[in-house]
Amino acid sequence: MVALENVFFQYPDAEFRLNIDNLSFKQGSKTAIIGTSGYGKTTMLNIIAGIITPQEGTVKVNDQIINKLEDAQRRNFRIQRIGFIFQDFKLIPYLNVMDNILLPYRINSSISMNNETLQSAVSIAEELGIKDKMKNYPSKLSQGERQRVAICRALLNRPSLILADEPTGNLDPDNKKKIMDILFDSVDKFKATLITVTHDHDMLRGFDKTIDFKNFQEI
Amino acid sequence: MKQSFYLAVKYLMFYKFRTLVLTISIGLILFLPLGLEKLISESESQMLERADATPLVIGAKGSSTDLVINTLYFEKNKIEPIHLGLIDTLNNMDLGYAIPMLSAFKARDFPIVGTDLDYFSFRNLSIATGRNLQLVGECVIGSEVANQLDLSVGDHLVSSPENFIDLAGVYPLKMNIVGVLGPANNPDDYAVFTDLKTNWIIMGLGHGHQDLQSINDPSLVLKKDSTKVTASAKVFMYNEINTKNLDDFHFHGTMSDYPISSALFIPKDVKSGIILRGRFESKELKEQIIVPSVVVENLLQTIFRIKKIFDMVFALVGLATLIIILLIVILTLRLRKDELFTMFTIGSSKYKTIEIIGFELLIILSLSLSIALVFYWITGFYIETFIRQFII
Repeated sequence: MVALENVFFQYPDAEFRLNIDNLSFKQGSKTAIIGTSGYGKTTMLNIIAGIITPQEGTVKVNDQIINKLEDAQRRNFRIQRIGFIFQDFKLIPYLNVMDNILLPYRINSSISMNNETLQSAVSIAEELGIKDKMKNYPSKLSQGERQRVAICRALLNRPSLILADEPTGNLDPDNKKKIMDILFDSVDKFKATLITVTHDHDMLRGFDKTIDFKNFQEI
Repeated sequence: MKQSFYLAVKYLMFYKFRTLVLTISIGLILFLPLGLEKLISESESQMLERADATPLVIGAKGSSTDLVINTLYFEKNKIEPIHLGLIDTLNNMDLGYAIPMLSAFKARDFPIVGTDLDYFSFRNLSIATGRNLQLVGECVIGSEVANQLDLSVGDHLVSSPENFIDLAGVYPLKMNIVGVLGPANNPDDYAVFTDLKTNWIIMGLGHGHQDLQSINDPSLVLKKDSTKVTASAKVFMYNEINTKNLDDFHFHGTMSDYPISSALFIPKDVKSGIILRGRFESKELKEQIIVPSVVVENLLQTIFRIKKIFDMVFALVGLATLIIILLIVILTLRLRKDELFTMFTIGSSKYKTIEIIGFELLIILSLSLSIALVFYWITGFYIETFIRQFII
């Protein structure tokens, strides 16, 4: 369960303000958030992930009030419970596929890497069809393959919440459908909550709920 | 820490060329002051060691530095010669003994040093293979000459002609190598030792040719009377001395007037040395007498003054390098903004980011230091060459 109550956020020295009175996402649900640019969809994902904290209000993820946690606790919570998928994949260019997938385990000591982690990484990569690319660097991968690597990285710690910021934005139609199918399958398998920000109305099929971010109304 | 180190290594390995250029640049900048310090200090100790081991040098008036450098390091400086007769004069004073030195020619870039057998015992030079000088035309070579030219006992070494165009000039002499010295780690390793007569033959003061009395060929003789025979240019001049033609070699004029470059003087005791110096200073003897260590110390003072300038230059270069490294780090961080933000978004802390970049810098600095130390170690092998080419 993810819930935002009376959330107010404003970037320093910026006119933009984000106000969310009440918005919640059920555990295991798949929600798409649509709306034109500049309304703060990505900002909301960052608030849910605890990357930025609102000036007012509460953000609950699985009964944990994220914005009341210390910086280190928020980081640990994020890396243990949340999987983040970006439009531009955000893979590290100097790490091969395997190392990119394992990146969360290398940058935060609250989760430790063991043989099970490595096996899990290989297993998820196999499910997503990139097992034979494990030694390749991102520059040698297609756009679709890069996004699969990013999804692998987000799913490796079996998150209860997956935040996806325009995950199909840079993909061709064929890859878009494949990636969304993978994402939905993974969410079902891990019983995770999926919150996806998208501009692409063609990709809304398969979501339990679609919210227009302009007025927070369900479509 | 282990994971940060892993990521740092991955980053540096991926950008190999950038890492290599940065590492070598920093390595060279670290090496330059270290290397120069080593060269200067080693040069100082080697030069002083040889100068301290040589009590007195006597030569013609002129540059005392040139005289010492010619006598101790066999560098071919233009110094005025003195006469061999001075050696007898010095020895007759009963204040010690004098060793004649004649260093004016080269054989394949190594100096030919004419001296007598006292020089070998004075410098504690031992024959590693073969024997010492016995006959005219023989030479004993230093260990480095043997190594670098791949020569051994039984081989030959030809003196280098002074000038190919000058037909009346110095002609090459093929010398027989009869001995190779053991390594002494000083300029003696790089010298070709002969007796004085061999040097004078190279100079043209002595020579060997066909016996004009025994060969009945009128074209060899230009003029002949009861006291003197004048040979024509057709007469064959020997360019090698061996047992067959040894007796045909002869010297004209008085031997005591023959030139030498300088003389080493080893006084019986301190007092004898002071007495001898007094005789030169009182103009009783017209040549100059020098304490080599004093001249070498003066020479080193000049080098140290130059070194101070270099130290300042290196300090400025070091500062500039630090600023450039700082600039590179700032620019790299800017280029890596997205990558670092990704890590932060996923769950990395600022401390972790600093740790990764810190490891990258540490690895580059460690590799640079290793390169600097390797260069520093290699420098040790070239001290002798450096001294010979840049200091003397």
